[in-house]
Amino acid sequence: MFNQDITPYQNLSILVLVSFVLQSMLMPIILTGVNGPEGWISILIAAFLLYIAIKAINKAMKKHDEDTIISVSDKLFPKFISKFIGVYYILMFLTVNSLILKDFAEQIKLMMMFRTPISTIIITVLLTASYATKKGIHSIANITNIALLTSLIPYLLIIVFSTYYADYTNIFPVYPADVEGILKSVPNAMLSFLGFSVLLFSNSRVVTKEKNMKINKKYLVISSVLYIGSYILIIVKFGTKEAANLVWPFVSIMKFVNIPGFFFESTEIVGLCLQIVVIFTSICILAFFTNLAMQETFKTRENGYFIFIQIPILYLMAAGLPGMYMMFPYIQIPIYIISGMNLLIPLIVAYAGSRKKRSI
Amino acid sequence: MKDIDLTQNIDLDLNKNEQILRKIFENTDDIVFRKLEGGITKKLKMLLFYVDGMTTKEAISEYAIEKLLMNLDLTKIRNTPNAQIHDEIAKSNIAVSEIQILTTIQECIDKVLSGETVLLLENCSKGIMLSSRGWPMRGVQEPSAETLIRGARDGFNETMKVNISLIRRRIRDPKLKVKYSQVGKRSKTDIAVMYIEDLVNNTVLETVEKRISNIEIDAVLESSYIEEMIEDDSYSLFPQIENTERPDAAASALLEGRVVIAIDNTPSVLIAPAIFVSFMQSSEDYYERWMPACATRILRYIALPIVMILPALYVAVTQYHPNLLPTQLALYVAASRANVPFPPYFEALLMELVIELVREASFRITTPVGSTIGLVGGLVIGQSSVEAGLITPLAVIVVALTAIASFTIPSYNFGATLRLIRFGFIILAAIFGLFGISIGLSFLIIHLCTLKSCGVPYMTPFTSFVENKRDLKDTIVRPRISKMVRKPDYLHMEKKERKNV
Repeated sequence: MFNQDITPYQNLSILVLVSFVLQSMLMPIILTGVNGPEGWISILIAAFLLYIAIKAINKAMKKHDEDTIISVSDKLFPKFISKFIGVYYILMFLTVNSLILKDFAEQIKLMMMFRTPISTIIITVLLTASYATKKGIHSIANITNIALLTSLIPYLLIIVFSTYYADYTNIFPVYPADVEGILKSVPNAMLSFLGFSVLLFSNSRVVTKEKNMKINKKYLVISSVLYIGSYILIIVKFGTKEAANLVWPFVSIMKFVNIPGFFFESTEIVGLCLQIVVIFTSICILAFFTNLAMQETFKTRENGYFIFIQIPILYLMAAGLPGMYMMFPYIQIPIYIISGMNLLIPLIVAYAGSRKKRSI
Repeated sequence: MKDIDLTQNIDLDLNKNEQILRKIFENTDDIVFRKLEGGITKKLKMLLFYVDGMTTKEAISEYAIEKLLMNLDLTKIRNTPNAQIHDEIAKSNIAVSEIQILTTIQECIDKVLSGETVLLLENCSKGIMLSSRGWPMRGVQEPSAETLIRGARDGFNETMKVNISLIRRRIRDPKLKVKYSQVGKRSKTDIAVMYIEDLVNNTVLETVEKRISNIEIDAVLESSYIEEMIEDDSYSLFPQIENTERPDAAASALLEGRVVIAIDNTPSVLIAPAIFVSFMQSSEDYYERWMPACATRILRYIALPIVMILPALYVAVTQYHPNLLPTQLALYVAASRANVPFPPYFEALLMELVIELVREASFRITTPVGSTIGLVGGLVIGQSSVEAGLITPLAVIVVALTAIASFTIPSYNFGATLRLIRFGFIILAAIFGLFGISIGLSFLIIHLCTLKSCGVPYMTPFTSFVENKRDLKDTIVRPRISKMVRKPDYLHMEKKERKNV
């Protein structure tokens, strides 16, 4: 009666929230990658490619709706391939999570806690996240919905108030477009839709699986609208040239929030407080799906205790990584590889699945 | 006492039974043994025993003893085989409302200790229970902890059956079921599980019944014993079972498909499952006109963060982030803090401690003196502390506002939890500033989202707000009664309609 799985809309919340966090983190890459205000075209192309992939995957997974991408590949491929896929997703989730953690800790240090060592912030976040991660997907989904209601929606509403004195002509001219920049930025935009990789795991935990395709489509639409909306907001507010120099565009934009009657002077700190809950939730989500990937790869009964393996790894990666702004020049090739793998692995699994179905 | 087997059957020999019972109730002067020779021809020996003070003596002497001594037709009984004498007595016109046949000594003892009277007969291996419960009880009074401006004034008292009748008066539906049981090896406290058959969620009902049947304890003296033993997570600060002294609130919970547990000797009933929003609702919300009631409820949700984090915000902003404040206010805060020897967190903790001391002191003393203590504590200590330069006026305002906001939370248990959490937030703010408050809030969200009450997610309907969007209607706002056409979705009940039932 009171199911331990998640509802379709809880799944949607998870996908949207985790994508939003990565989109806001990787926004500078899109802003610098395209020479002009046409970055939204890259986002649209990425969304379209992912739509095709989602359609293929959902079709292929219909017979395996209780399985994640790892357990399906276990049935379709030799063991070493499924193990490789499992290890890939574990490493990918760990890397992305540590990047988010690092970026988040840096923001807090620079905006709020000048004298606190960054490692203290990272440990505090990790220990709190471990409590949530151990509780399972149902709790994670509940937390996501609450974070959506109490933090993400108010945060987005506050950001709307930054549009005072915005120069809407900044989004023009669209032509002549920087076609090369647009195409090169597609993998960047594609990685920002991290929900695409998460849904390969979360769809199997949904109560009414027949709604998965509809929910996945909704996710793509909502996430694209949020991504394009945020991109355009930053462009109209700062212009293409200034936007390309922003390290944390969302923090910068919060400085321009002007709510009539709002008496706080540093609105960016208020925004950051809301952002903390959102980012923190996305860290919990990614940590949980890393646990799940570990469980599927290593074939264990429980997955909650994998968080104790994750904590030191995430801490070392986050503490050891340079800041995002220092990594921008070197990050492009890894992003191409990860985006390519994120798109290709599910497509190959979908293709293998459909071939096996035909042979049966 | 050790040697007596209480599970043994009642003996045919009345003297032996009497000896056993007298041995069991040795040094128990409130047990009355009355030996009779019943019937017109005075041939049948009987033993009547009961607890003095727990029975209605009039009922026993007028309707039972008189009948047994004067009117019993022994000619009929004399021809009856020994094994069926009790049946004949039970069928005779003894004018008591309830009669029950007992087989063992244990059953006799249990009944007598519950206030019933037991009749044992010569040459008969069965006992007869004559209902005679009656003890001095408090009348039905207005509940002191849940007072209303508008609404019924009757409240539960310490007698379970009275409490059940108060609920039955409000729901005259044969589908309202009441299941009795006893908990407590020594106290043998009566418990009644109440629910409406076609509304209750069977999973919740089974969970409640199973948890109650699993309780192993010597005595249950108050409903809190049961509450603690049937809640999902007793380590959580948050209450997961609701309690109320109001029959109308209990009736409303039953109509929502929830389970009500009435416990003898307790002037309140327990309600399961209890979710976050139910602690923010008051019966009065539905008795007042909908718009003011709606505003009051919104006010409570505004009070919620004030109760939890306002003092912590004061600490974080003054200690770490003064740049958040408007310049004039920041300057005023800095000026007022110039002569204060304590850091903001110490100020806040000190004042919160004083408020809690005043609150606790006023609870322990009679009401008029209690309110005087509140006034003296609030005004004198606050004023003197500011004048002595120990704390800033802003700290007094913050703490006073927090204390006032805490009184708007309808549930005492829930309010107490929020007050306790406040101290945690002050400490987090003192260490990490706003980041600490955000982490604390995240931790709180996680905890609340993992909490369940009898299997129902505590934060429902917020945790699945799309699926349970109808339930959102009656959460932060109170809709018009005519718009609440369906019962809550979260309990998955079959008959959801309120209209055309």
